[in-house]
Amino acid sequence: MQITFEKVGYTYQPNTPFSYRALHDIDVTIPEGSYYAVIGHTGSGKSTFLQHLNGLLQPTEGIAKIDDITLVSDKKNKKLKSLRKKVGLVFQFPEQQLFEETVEKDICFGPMNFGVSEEEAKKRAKVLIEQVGLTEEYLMKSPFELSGGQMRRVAIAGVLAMEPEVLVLDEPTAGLDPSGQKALMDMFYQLHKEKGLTIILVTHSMEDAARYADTIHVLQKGTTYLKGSPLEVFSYEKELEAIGLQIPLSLKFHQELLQKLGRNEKATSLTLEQLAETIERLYNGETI
Amino acid sequence: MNGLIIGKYIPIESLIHRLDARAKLLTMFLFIFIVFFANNLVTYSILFLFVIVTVLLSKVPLNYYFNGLKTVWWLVLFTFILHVFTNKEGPLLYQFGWVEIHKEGIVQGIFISIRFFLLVSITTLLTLTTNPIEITDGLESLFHPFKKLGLPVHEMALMMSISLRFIPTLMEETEKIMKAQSSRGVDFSSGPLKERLKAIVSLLVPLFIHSFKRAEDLAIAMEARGYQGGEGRTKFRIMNWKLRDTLCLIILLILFLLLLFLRK
Repeated sequence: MQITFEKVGYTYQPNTPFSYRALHDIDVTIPEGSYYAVIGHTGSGKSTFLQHLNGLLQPTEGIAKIDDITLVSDKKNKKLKSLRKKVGLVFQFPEQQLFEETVEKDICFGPMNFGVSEEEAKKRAKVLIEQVGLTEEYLMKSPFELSGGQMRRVAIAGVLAMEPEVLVLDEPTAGLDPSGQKALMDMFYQLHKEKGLTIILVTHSMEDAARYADTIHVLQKGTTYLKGSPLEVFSYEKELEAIGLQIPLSLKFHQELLQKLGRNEKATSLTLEQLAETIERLYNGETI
Repeated sequence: MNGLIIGKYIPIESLIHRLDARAKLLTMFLFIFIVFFANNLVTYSILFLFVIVTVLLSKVPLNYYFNGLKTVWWLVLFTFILHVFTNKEGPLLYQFGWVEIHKEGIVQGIFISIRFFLLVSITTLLTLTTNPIEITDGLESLFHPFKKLGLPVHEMALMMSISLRFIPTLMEETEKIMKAQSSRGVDFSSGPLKERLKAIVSLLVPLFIHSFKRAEDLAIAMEARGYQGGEGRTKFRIMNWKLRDTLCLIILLILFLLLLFLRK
């Protein structure tokens, strides 16, 4: 399923002194099976943008098309529930949404709301608890006796259990320890690769955006600032710096290395692994 | 949640905004008191005029007041109807079976509705033009004399300002959790009763857990910064009683005397 936004804008509390235009003139096309990263500062409109993807907000300007569902202003959409089944949204700090007595019940909550049988939901919970890096014993525990990181994993499992076609992630690893961050991000990437899950990731980490995404969308003051493949976007280093964003360290390293060596080539290392390979090749005297 | 108007402060510049919170609080209490002295057309008109003028002076868009009135609209209508059908004074205007409508009923009904309008407008005016923190400070200062009688004035003011401070946070959190649960297929606005209850549980449990956690964090943060209660504590915001505040009270007193003189 494809997601298309045409000139989408959103104003909070219109026609009041608190009126605030959080988003405007957003054009987006997210093809099925892509990995789309949205970056930008706090207050750049990222979260507002995300909430349009499963109809939590309806645009006050423009048209948002998600699969066969069209969202425009002033029109209550009756198909929101089917939209929310297709688009799973993991909010920032999703551990705040846990409420059931046991981890298993909480994971089953989402799918059962969408009409999945209890048996099937429990089956999914068993698979998913392992997938997010916990063990089956956790299923019978209360979510409130877990650590913050474990709660996060359970909450994410709860959204994955809905088996959405599109997974929207709002800084899913914020506040986790580094190894946990990597494990989760790799898990998402694996789902993307193996099951063709479309992923839309909001992140502050340029490294994550560079490593996983095939398109990066930079938002600034509620509208598009830059958009393109990681290498394209990160080639605008000055423009990114102007809004307080930096290019990934591996790319920066590559750039400086080429400069020191006096070589007039373009830096291409989006990840540490690629950087290591580049250095190896340079060391062996090969051209890049 | 945006419809909730009572307790929403609108930060703009106006004469009413600049008045001392204590002056505004006293004015409001006095006004509520004297509203009950009005009992004829002239007195009600004077109070009505007073409210209209203050509302206009506050420069707050008028639809805010109407929104505030919306919340009590049904109450007004109910009391009006009650008066129309139960008051049996004055000449009979209309009779249908056992239903009798008397002139006094309609007159009293209208007066009571106006009284509601006046009371709601003046309290809405206070909260729309005064920062909640200022209101708390004002109350603390006004109640200060009662400290000698053993009333924990500072603690009560602190509790009030903390609760006021966390209303927006709580609303934000409610909205966020509602959105998160909606994303998991919860329908908060329709569906059978059993599912609606479950939906409410999925909202309330996280809210309670976070409120308790936040209260604990706040207590620790306050202790870490050496909070020991109100003894010897100085104020960051110093309240200034100016000439215009005195004038405000004088106007109210004149209004009161005028009412005593003009009422039946």
